[in-house]
Amino acid sequence: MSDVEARLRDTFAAEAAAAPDADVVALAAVARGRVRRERRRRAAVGAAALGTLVVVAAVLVPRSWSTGATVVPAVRAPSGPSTGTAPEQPALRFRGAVVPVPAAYLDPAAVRCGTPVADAAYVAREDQATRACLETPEHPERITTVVLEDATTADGALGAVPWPRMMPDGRTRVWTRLPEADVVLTVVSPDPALAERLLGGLRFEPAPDGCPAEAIRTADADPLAEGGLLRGRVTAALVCSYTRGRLDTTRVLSANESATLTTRLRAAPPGLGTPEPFCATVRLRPGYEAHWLLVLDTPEGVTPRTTLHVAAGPCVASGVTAPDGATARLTSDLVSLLTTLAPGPSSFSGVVGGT
Amino acid sequence: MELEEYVAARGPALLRLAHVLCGDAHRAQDLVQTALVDAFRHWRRVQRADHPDAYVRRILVNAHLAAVRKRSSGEVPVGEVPEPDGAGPDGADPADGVAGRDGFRAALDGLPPRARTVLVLRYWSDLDDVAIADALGVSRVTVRATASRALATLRERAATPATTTTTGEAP
Repeated sequence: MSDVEARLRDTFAAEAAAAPDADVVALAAVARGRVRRERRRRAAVGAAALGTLVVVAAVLVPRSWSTGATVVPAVRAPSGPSTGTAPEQPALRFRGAVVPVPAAYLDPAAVRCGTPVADAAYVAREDQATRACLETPEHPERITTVVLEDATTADGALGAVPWPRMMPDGRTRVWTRLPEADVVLTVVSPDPALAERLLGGLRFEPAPDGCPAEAIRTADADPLAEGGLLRGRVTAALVCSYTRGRLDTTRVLSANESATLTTRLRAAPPGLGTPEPFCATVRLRPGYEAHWLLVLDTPEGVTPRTTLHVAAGPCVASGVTAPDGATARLTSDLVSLLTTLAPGPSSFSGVVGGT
Repeated sequence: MELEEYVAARGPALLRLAHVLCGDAHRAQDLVQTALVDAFRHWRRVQRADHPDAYVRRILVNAHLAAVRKRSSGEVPVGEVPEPDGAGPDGADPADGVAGRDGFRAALDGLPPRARTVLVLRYWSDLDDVAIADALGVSRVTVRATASRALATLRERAATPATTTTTGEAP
């Protein structure tokens, strides 16, 4: 080997040794979130185009040609603007508080290491682990942020001394409390009118039927229970997510989402536990657990509704439990889907899914 | 295999390769993330590939070269502002060794991006010319010729006194 080749090897080895010790799994989660967002956007554009076609067809084609058949989900969506399976308006959601925001604000890449690096809308959670790195946006004074957080946590910051409306960097900061959801919304923007408009968009959407305000647990696991978690056809599904026992996010699933969820539930092996790859990705602080409740309408049985309890924690017994004690292990596929559908148990955000 | 499982197993190696390719910690993370976005878009294809590693490496390398092309007309961010040329002591100083290493690194950084990438894949990733050609989407002959020219350039610059290098001689 020549001297130059040896020096090349040494130089590259030195550079490799200086490589950052970054959380690559978090990078993967961000990548996954970004691609899913792109796909959803594409699907929404396709759906909009299809919708336009349908409307045009409905106007042009005689009434007798229309099929008229409609499938109504048995799980009722909350009353309000975003019901059923209509394309959802991009919005930041937390405990029933809904703030419509531009879709780009919700890009997980807009917040790095807990710091917004672009216009961003996110839920600030004290239990959320963030990557240990320093991020300094080039022009923080140009960034608009929309933040929802627990009112108790926010009280510490709001405190007795009111925040100044004008920040030192010239941005306007406005905030309000939504008592129904017990959350505080804070908007910071270089454009005062935009800040007021975003703040004014805040609304409360009550949880759909089937999502209790507090997390409930189903029966204890029964090692003798047989037959799997799901019996019969699932026609509609609702996902309720809980953080520290409190309802966080709810989502009425579309037919496709329900089908995907039930497929993954059926594929999950019986038993409780924490599969190693999943355990390794959890970034929960000790003492925190995540819960989801899956409310499934299965009209082909004696009981038309099945409620499955999903628990997850840092390497503790995790899994899905049915009322009769039947269990299923959590697969990373299932957790990934749940965090996408109802990203309440935020401790997984940035690791498995994304908020 | 899911993306997260793959990344948990191979992510650190990807990050090291990205860092050796671009020489900057932040850009390396961005590069890996860009590559993962692309990999996830075509994840089924990655899973079906005979060598998923080679597939993802190819994505990473192409993302790096694309980023370099995009940046070539703009400013180049650096971690630290370099000392002005000639600010150091003369040739008899014990710091010569360091200066020599820096000179070598500067010569390396002065290579065309594709040539530097070929050297990284050959001397860091220990790939043969066929694998490098596959990663870059070029022929084996091109790889050999590029590597040969790059090594000759480095030899020439390594043999040139540091003072000559700092006078702004054309790379």
